[in-house]
Amino acid sequence: MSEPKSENHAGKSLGAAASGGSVSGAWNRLMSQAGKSKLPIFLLAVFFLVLPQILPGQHWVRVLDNAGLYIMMALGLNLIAGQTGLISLGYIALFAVGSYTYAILASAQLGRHFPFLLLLPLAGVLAGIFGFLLAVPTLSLKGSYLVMVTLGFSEILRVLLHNLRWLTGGTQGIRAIDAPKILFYTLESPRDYYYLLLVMCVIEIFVMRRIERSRIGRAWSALREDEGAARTTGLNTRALRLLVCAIGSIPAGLAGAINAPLLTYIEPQYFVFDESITVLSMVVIGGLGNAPGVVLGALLLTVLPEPLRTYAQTYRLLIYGAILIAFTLFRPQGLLPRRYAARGEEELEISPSKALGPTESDR
Amino acid sequence: MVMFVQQLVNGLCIGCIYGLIALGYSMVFGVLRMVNFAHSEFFMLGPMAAFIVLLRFGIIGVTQRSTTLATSLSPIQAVGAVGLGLLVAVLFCGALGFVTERITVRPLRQKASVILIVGSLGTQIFLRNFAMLFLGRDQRGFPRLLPTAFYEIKGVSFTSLQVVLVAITVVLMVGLVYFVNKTYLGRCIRSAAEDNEVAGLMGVNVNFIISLVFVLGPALGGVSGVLSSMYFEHIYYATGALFGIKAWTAAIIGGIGSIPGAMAGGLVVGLLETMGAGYLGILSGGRLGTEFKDLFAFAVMILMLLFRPQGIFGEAVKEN
Repeated sequence: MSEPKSENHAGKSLGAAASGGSVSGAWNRLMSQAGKSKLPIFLLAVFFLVLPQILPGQHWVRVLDNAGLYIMMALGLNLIAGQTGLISLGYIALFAVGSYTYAILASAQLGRHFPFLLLLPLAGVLAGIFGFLLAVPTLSLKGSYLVMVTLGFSEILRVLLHNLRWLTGGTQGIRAIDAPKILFYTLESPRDYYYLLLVMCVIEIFVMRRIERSRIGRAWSALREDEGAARTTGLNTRALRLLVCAIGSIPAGLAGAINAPLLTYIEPQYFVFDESITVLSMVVIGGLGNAPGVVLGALLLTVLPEPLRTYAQTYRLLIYGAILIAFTLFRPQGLLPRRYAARGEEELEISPSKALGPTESDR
Repeated sequence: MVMFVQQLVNGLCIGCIYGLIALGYSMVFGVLRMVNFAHSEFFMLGPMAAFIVLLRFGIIGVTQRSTTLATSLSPIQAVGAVGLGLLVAVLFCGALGFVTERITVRPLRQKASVILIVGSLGTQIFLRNFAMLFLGRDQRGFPRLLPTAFYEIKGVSFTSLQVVLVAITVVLMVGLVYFVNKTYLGRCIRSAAEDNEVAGLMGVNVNFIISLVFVLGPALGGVSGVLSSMYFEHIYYATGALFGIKAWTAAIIGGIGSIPGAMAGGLVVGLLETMGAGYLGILSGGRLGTEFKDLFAFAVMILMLLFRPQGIFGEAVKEN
C-alpha cells in the first residue's frame, strides 16, 4: 500500500529513493544512470568532431554552419521562452545587431579593422543591451506585450538598416568583411567555422545548463509558473525579467558576429522577420525549455529543408505555420520535452494554472 | 497651412484604416487577454477574397502587369461592385475568423500563454503564406472600383474615395458602439471582457461570445483591407504584417479593450505617419527623409507603454 503506483507521484513527492521497490522505480534508476554515463556524450562528441571530415564537399558543411548559427540563437531564445515563458520576436534583429557590429567595425565601411576576438564579445554585449532595453517598456505588463515591442523593434531596425547608408550601407549592405583571425589562425573555409561554431555551441549549452540550475534559473521557472506567487515569495520579478531578456539575447549577438564573416557580405535582406519565426519554430518543435530538444529542432529545420530547396522555398513558411499549429495542438511539449532532472521522469506540464483563464484580471 | 490640412486629411484616411483593424485586436484582447497575431492577416485576406470574386464576376480583369476594371462601370454599378467586394470580405473573413478560433484558440485557451501565442503566430504565418499561393509573391494591382472625382476646398484636395472611406468607417464605428453599449449581445461582450468566469455564472455563453468577437474583428479587418486596397491600389500577400503591427500600436495608444480608443489610436498613428512624412524632411533640413516615417508609430508605442500603458481611453492597467 505504501508502494506508489505512479512513477510521477513517487518522483514528485520523495524523489527516486521512495520508489525503490517498484518496477517503475528500477526503470527510473536505470534511466538516470544512463543519463549519467559518459558514453553517449563521448560518442556524440566524436561524431560531431569527425562529421565535417567525412561529409563530401563543402555544401553540407555550409549547411551545418548555418545549423550552428541557428542552434546558438535557438538556445538563447529557449532561455527566454522556455525558462520564463516570455516570447521575443525580435530575435533576428538582435542577430542583425551582432552581424552589423562585426561588419561595420571590420570592413572598409568605416575603414576600421578591429580583431575578431574583440568584436565577438562586443557584439554579444550589444545584443544583450538591446535585449535589456526592449524588456524595459513591458516590465509591468503582461508577457504578450513583449512580443509586440520586439516585433516593433525589428521593424525599426529594418528601417534603420535600409536607410542609415553611411553606417550600414543601406540596401546594398556591407561587402568584403574581414575574415576573423583567432590568435594566429585565420578562419577561411566553412570547416574552420564549423569548429568555431561547435565550440561556441558546446560552451553555450554548458553555460545555459548551469544558469538553468542556478538559483536565478529556478527563480525564472517560478516566474513562468506563476508570476504573482513568485513575487509573493520575495523574488524581484522585474529584475529577473530584465536579466533573462539580456542574457538570452547575448547568443544572438555572438552568432551574428560569426555570421557576418561567414557570409563575407551582409544586407538587410538576411534579417527579415520570417527568420525570427524560424528560430521560434525550432524552439517549439524541439521542446520548449529543453536544450537537447532545441538543438534537435534547429538541426531538423536547417537540414531537412535542404534537399527540397527550390521546392521548399515557396512552401517553407506555409509548412512552418502548419507545423507550429499542429505542435501547439497535439504536442505542445515538443519532440524532446523537458524533464525535471531532480524529479525523475516528469514531463513539462503546460500547466492550466497559467492559462489565460477567466479568473485573471491582469489588465 | 494648406499642407498641414492636406496631411491632416490624408492622415485621417490612413487612420481610419488602422482604426478598423485595431478594433479587432482590441476586442479579442478585451475578452481573452491575448494578442491575436492572426488578426493582421484578415486585413489581407478580405481584399484577396474580394479580388477573386470580382475577377470571377468579370468586373475586374487582370493583365500581365496590372489589374484594371474590365468594363467601365456606371456609378450605380461601381457602388454595387464596392458593396459586393465588402460583402465578400466580411463573409469570408468572418467565417475564417470563426474557424481559426475553433481550431487554434479554443483548444488552447486553458494552456500556458506561451502556447497560445505560438499557436496564434502559427496561424498568422499559415494564413499569410496560404494567401501567397493565390496572390503570388509580388504586389498586384487592385482597381479603385469607384469613379474618382477630385474635390478641392481652399487648396486642400481630396477624392471621392477618401470620402467613402471615412464615411464607411464612421458608420461602422457608430454601429459597433451602439451594438456593444445598447444591445443584449453587446452587454454580454462587455461582461465577458470584465470577467469570463463571472459572466459565465450569470448565464452568458462565454464560448459563443468569444466566437462572436472572432467573427466581428476579422470582418472589420476585412472591410479595412478592401478599403485600403482600393486606396493604395494594390494587394500584396505580406501586407498584413506591417499594417497589423501599426494597428496594434494604435490599439495600445488608444487604450486596449476600448472601442473609441482603438479608433482614436488609429487616427493618432495615421496622423503621426503623414505628418512625419510631410514634415520630417523640412524640419531636419533634408537629412531625414520620408522613409523614417514608420519609426514614429513604434516610438510612440514604446513611450506609451513606458508612461501610460493604459492608453488614452483605457482603464488603469493592473500589473500582470
